[in-house]
Amino acid sequence: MKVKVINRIEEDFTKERKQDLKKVHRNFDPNIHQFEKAHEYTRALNAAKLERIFAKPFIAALPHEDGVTALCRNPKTINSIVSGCADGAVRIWDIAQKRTLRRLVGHTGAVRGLSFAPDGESVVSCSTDCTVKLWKVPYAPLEAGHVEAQQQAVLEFQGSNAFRSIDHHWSRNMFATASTAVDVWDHERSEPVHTFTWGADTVISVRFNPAEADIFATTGSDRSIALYDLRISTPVRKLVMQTRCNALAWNPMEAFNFTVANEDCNLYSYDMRKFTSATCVHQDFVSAVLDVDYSPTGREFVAGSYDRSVRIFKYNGGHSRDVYTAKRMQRVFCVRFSGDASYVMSGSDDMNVRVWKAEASEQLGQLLPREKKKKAYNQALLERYKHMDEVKRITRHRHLPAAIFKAARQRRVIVDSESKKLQKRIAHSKPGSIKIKPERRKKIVAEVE
Amino acid sequence: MKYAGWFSDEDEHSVEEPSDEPREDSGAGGYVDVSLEHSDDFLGGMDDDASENSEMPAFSQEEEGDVEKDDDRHQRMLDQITGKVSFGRDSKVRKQALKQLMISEAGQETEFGLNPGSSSTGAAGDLTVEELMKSLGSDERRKLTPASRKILEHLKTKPAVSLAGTEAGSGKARKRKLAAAGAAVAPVAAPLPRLIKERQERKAGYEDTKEEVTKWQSIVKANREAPTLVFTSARGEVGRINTTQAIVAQHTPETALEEEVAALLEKAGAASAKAVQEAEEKLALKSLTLEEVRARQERLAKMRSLLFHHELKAKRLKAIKSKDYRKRMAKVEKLHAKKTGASIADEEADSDAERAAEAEAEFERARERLTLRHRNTSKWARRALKRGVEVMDAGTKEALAEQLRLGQSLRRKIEGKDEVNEDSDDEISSSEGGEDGTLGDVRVKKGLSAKAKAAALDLITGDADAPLPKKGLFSLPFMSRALQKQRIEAQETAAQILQEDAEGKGFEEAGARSRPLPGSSVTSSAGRMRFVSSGAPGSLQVPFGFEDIEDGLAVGDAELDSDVDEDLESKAERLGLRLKVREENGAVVGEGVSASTKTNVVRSAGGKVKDGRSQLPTLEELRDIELALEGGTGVSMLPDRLSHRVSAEAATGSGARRVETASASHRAHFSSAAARSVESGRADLFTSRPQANASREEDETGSKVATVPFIPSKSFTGSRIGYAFKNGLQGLGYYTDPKPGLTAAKPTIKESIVPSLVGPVAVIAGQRSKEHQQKRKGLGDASLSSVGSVKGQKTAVTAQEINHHAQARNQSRNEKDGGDDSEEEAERVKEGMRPIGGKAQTQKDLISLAFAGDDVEAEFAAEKAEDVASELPKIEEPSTLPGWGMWSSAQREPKWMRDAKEKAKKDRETAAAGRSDAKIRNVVISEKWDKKAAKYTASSLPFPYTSKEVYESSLRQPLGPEYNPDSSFRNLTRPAVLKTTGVVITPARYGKNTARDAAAGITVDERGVARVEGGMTVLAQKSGKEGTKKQQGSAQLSRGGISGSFSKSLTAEKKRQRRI
Repeated sequence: MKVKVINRIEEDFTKERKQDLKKVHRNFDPNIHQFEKAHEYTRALNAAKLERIFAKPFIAALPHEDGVTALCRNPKTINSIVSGCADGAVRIWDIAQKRTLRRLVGHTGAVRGLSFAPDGESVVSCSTDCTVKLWKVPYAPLEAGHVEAQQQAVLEFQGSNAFRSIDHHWSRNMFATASTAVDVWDHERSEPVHTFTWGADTVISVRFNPAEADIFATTGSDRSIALYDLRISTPVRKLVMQTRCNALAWNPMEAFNFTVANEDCNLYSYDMRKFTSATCVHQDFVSAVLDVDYSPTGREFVAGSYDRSVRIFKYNGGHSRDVYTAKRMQRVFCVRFSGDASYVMSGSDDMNVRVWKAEASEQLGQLLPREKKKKAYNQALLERYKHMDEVKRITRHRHLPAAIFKAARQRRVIVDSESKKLQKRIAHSKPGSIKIKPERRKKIVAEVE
Repeated sequence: MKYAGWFSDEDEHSVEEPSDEPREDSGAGGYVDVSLEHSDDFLGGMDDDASENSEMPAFSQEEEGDVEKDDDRHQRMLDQITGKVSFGRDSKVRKQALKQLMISEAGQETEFGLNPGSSSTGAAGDLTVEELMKSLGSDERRKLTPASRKILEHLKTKPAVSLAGTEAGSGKARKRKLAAAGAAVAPVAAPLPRLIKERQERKAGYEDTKEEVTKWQSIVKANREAPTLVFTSARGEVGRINTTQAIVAQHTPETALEEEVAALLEKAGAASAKAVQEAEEKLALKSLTLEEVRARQERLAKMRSLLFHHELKAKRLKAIKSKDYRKRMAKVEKLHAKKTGASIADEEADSDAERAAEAEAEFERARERLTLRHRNTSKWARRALKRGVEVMDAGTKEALAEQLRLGQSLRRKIEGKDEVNEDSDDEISSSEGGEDGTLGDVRVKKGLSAKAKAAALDLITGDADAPLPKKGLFSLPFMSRALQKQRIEAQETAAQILQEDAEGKGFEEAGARSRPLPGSSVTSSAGRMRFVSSGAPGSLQVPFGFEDIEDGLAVGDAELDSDVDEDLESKAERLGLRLKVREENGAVVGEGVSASTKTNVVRSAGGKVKDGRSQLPTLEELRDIELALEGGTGVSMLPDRLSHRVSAEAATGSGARRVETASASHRAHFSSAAARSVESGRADLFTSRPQANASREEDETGSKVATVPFIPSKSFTGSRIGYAFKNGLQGLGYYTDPKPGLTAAKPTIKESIVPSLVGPVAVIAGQRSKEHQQKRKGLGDASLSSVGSVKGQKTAVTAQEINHHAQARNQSRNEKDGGDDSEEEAERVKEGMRPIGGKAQTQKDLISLAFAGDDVEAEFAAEKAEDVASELPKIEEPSTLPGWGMWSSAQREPKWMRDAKEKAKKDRETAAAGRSDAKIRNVVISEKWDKKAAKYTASSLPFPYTSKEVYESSLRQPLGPEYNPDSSFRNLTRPAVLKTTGVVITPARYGKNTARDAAAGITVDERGVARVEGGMTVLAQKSGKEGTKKQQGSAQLSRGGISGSFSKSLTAEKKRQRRI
C-alpha cells in the first residue's frame, strides 16, 4: 500500500541568501476557505468603519485679510496656488510650508478672477477695478521660514468695465476676460485681440477648454452658457437655463464635457455637442453653487456653495461623494483641485483658503506596497459591498452642520411634495396629457444658435 | 443692378433683421430696403417660428427677369408703401405677390464706372466681365499675363455670366439667370442682415466645433470604460536632481546680476573649484625652480602611486571575511605589540598576560569540545552539506572547510596538552570498540547458549522427577498424566537443544530469528515487564528488588554480558536454590519450570489474587519457560504487552480453572484475540487445537474461493471475499480483487454476521481464528502445538459447531431448493447474505416487507403542511370567542367575523399556493426569512444591474488573497484611478494614433489598465531648452516641497493612524 505523507523540504521554504525569493504557497481549495462571502462582507464593513474613522480631510487654513474671492493653481507645480481677495490683495502661497511667498499689490477693487499661464511662471488677475494685471510667480524656496514680500504687477491691461472672471489659454499667451463682453487678450497687446458679444448681459465666468485649447465657454447673467471658438472668432452656441450658472469647468480628460454650477443648488454636466439635455444633474447642495473645478483626472470635480460647504462629486455621480464643512467656514466663493488630484483648495468668505484632502480618509505620505495592497483591497471590498444596507449606511453617513441638514431636509420635503403632486396630477388627468420632463431637461429653456 | 437673393428658396428665413446701416432710398436706382420686423437681438434665434407664423409680410429678395413687369411691380411697390396693398386670398397668389414685391437693389456707383441702374445692359443687369473689362485701360490690359488675357477673351466670347449667380448658390436662380443671360443683367444679392449672417456663422461654427471635438469620442469612451486609468502624464517632467552639486552644475546665469557675477568670477579664475585649484598650483609653481618642481612632481607621483597601492591593498585586506584570518591578524598584532612593548613592560605583567591568554585558550578549547561548533554540525552547515557539494558555491565550501580546520586545530591543542593521558585513553577506547564490534557479539551468543544450556540441563536433570501436585485440579489423574507427558516432551526438546548446541548450530538462527521480532524480551528491554505471582494468600511472597529483576534474562544483553564469566553450573545452582526456597515456602511450581528458569521472578500481586487455589504454574511461569526455551530454539516470544495483559488477567481472574493443562513441555501461545477477550472480561484465553484447525480450514475455504480467477455473473449478487464485481476482460462477473488488503478485512465482518445470528460466541471464535492466523504468521512457526484451556476448547468447539450447523442447515435448504446455483447460494450464506423468502422474492417485495405499515408519504405530507403553516405570513383573524362581549340578542357569529375568517383562510391559501414548493409534491423549499443571512443581501437590486442573477454573479468571486492567486488578487482589487501624489496630471492631449488605438480598443491592456498620457509641452517649445530646464528644476523643487511639504502634519497623522 502506498502511504501518502506530508512532506516538506525545508530548503524550499527558507531563504539562504537575502536575494533568494521566498515562494509563498497557498492552498486555494475552497473547502478550506469557506464562508468567503461572510468573511469579505465583514471586512467590507470594517473597511467602511475605518474609512469613516480616518476621514479627517482638513489639512490647513491659509489666512487672508478679506473674503477670498478667487483661486488658481499652478499647472506646473502642486505646492503653488494664488488667491485673490475682496480687498484687492493677491497672495502667492507655498501651501506645503503654509506660508505666503508674495503679496501682489496693485488691485484697488475685489479680485474676481485669477489664472496661471501654462508655463506656471506668471499669473493674471482681474478685478472689479477694471484692470487685468499680470504677475510673475516665483518658485518656493526649499528652505523654510518667512519669505513674504510685496511684488508689483509686470503688466497691466485696462478694460472699460469691471471684470468678473479671467481664464488663461492652456497653450498660448492669451487669456480671456469676462465683463460686459468676452475679451481675448494677448500678453503682448494692451488691447483685446478679440471681443465676443452675444446679447447684452454681463458675462460672469469664462473658462478655456484644457483639452481643446481653442474652445472656451462662458456663463452669463442672462442665464446662459455660451460656447466660443477662437479659430472662427465667433461664439458658437448658447444654452439658456432657468437659473443662472455661476461657474463652469471643463473636464480636462473629456474635451466635450463640462459642468456648470447653477444657482438652483445643482450642478449640470453637459456634452457640448448635445445641448438638448444635461448628461447628469448633480444634487446635494442646499444653496447656490458658486464655483466648480474638475480634478485633473477628469473623474471627479469639486464644487463650493453659498451654503458653506464644499462637495466632491464623481463626474457621473448624481449625489456628492463627500462633503467638507468646517465650523468657521463661511460662504465658499472659489474651489480648486490640486494638480495631482490629491488635494482640494477652497476660498471662503471667512478670509481663509482651506486645503483639504480629496480623499477624506486617505493616508498621506509614502505607502508600503503592503499598505497599498491593503488599501486597494479595502476599496475593492467597499465598492463591491456598497449596496449592502449596513455598509451603505456607514459609508454614506456624514455629520453636517444643522443649517445644511435642516435645509436639506426641507428641500427633500419640497421635492417629495412636488413629485407627489405631479403623480396626483397624472393620476387625475387624461393619460398622456401630462408630459414629465426628466430632471436633466427640466431646467433647459432654449438652445440658441 | 439687383442683388441675387441668398435665400430665394428659403422662405423660412425671411426675417430681416434691422440693419444698423443707414437706409438709402435712391429713386433712380429704385432699390428699396424694407425692414418689416424688429426682432430682439437675443431672442432672434428662438423666435424663428413665431416670426414665421406672424402675418407680417416678409420680403424675399428675388431677381426679376421680365422687363415688362417692371412697371407693374413698381406700381405695386408704391401701393405697398402707401398701404394700398391688397393681396389675393389665395396663398399662392399671395406668395407670388410677395416675391414680386421684393425689390432690393443695392449698389453704388463704383470707381469701375459701372452703373448698375442703367438699362444699357438690360434691366436684369447682372455684372458681366465685359463691363468690368471696360474699366481696364489699355495699359492695364497690356500688363495682364497672357494666360489671364486668354481667360478674359474666352469669357467675352461666352454669353455673359452672372457673377452673382456663381456666387450665390441656388440652382433655380442660376438657371433663370443663365436663361436671361445676355438679354438682362441679374442683380447682385444683397448682403445678409448682420444678425442672420452671424447666426449662420455661429451655426456653421458650431457644427465645425462639434466635429472637431467628436474626434475625442473614441478616446473618451475607451477611458470611461477602462476599469483602471493610470495617469503617467508628468512623471517624465519631474526632474531627478538630488544633489546641490547637480543643481550647481545645471545653473546658468540668467539675470544681469548673475551674469555680472559670473563674468567677474570667470575673470578672476574662480569660476569653479577646479579652476581655483589650478590657479593655486600655478601660484605655488611660480616660486620654485624647474628642478625643484620636477623633483616635487616626481615625489608627488611616487607618493600618489604608493598611496594608490596601499589603498588597493587595504581594500583587498578589508574584503577578507575570514574570521580565522581576523583572529590570526589580531594575534599577530598582539604579538607584535608584545614584542615592541616587551622591553618596556616587566616580566610579571608578561607572565600575567600569558596566563590570561592561556586561560582564554583553555576556555576556547573547552567550549569547542562542548559545543562542537566547528564540526560542521551547525544547522547552516548541515543544510549546506545536504544541498550537495556540486550546488555549493565556493564561499560556502571554503567556509565549511575553514570550520573543520578550526575545529581540528582546537582539538589538536587538547591533544597536545596532555598527550600521554589521551593516548592511553584512546587505546582503551579503541580496544573497547573492538570488543564491541566482535567479542561482544560472541559473548552474547555465548551467554545465550549458556543460559539455554542451563535451562535445558535443568529440565533434563533436575526436574523430571519433581513431585506432581497432590491437591487441586492438577492432582486429578488425567491432569497429572498430562503434566507428566508435558514434562517428558520438554525434556526431549531440551535434549534436542543441547544436541544442537553441541553441533554449534543454533546461534545464527537465533540471531536471525529473534532480531526482526520487536518486543521479544531477548533482543530488547524496551517495555517494562511485570511479573506477578498467583500464589496463594498466606504463601510467602518474595518481593524482588530491582537488582533481582536485573538479574533476569528479560532485561537484556547487558546482564547477559555481565555474567558471562560466571560459571554456568554455579549459576544454575544459585538460581535453583533461590527457586527452591520459594518452593519450600509453599508455592507449588512446576518442577521443570522452576529448575530451568531463573526468570520465575515473582512479584507480589497482593490483594489481586482472589482465589487461593492457583498454586500451579501461572501464566508468567509458562511465559518464562518459553523464554528459556527460546534461548535455544530461537523461537520468538509473545509481545511484551500481550503477556503483560495476560498476566494481569491471570492475577485477577480465575487462573485456577485455566492452568490445569499448562505444562512446561508445551509452549502455550496466546492469541491477541484472547487478550482482547481478557479485556472484555472473558475467560477463554487459550485457543484450542481444534479451533485452530477450524480456523485453518476456514482460511482454506477462503483461499479456495479466491483461487478461481473469474466467476461469471450477470448481475451483482452481493460482494464476495477476495473478489470485485466488474466488467472485465472475460465479461461481467467477479474478478479476483487486486486489493486484497481491503477485501481481507471483509471476511471478518461477513463472518461475524453469521455467528451473530446464532450467538455471540461464534463471533469470538471467528475473530480468534483470524487473529490466530495472524499470530501464526507472526511467529512463522507452522508446527505450533497449542494447548488451550478446557473452556477455551469448549467455546471454540461450540463456535465451530455452530458454524457447521449453520452451514449444514444452509446446505440442506439449498438441496431443498434444488437450484443449480447451490454453490453460489452457499457462498452467499457464507457471506451472511441469505435471502429470506427464496428466489421468487424481488427486491421490491423485500422493501415492502421491510417497511410494511410505514406510510411515509402521508407522514411527509403532514410534515410539509406543518412547515408551510409555520412559514406562512401571519394573517390576523378575529380571535374573540363568538358571542363573547356581545348582547345576547346579537348573532353568535356575526357576518363580519365569518367573512374575516374566510378571508384569512383564503389569504393563507393563496400564500401557500404562491410558495415555490406548492406544486412540487415531494419537496419542501423553505421560505423562512433568515435574519442572519439577510445581512449579506442587498435590500434592493442596485442601479446598474437589471437582474438579480447578474448582480449575484458579480458578487460570487471573492476578492481576498486567501481565495485568489496574487495576480488575480491584484487584478480584482486594482483601483479605478492610479496616480502619483505630488505629480501633476496634465490635461489630455489628442493624438491620432491614440484615437485610432482607442477606437480599436487596444489602449486598455489585458489587465484592464489604460494609460492616460498628457503633455504640457507648451511654452517650453517656445522658450527653448532653458525654459524646459527651469521647469524641471521647479518641478523638482515642488516635489521636494511636497515631500517635505505636508510632511510634518502628515507624518503626525500617519503616526496617529498607525497607532490606532
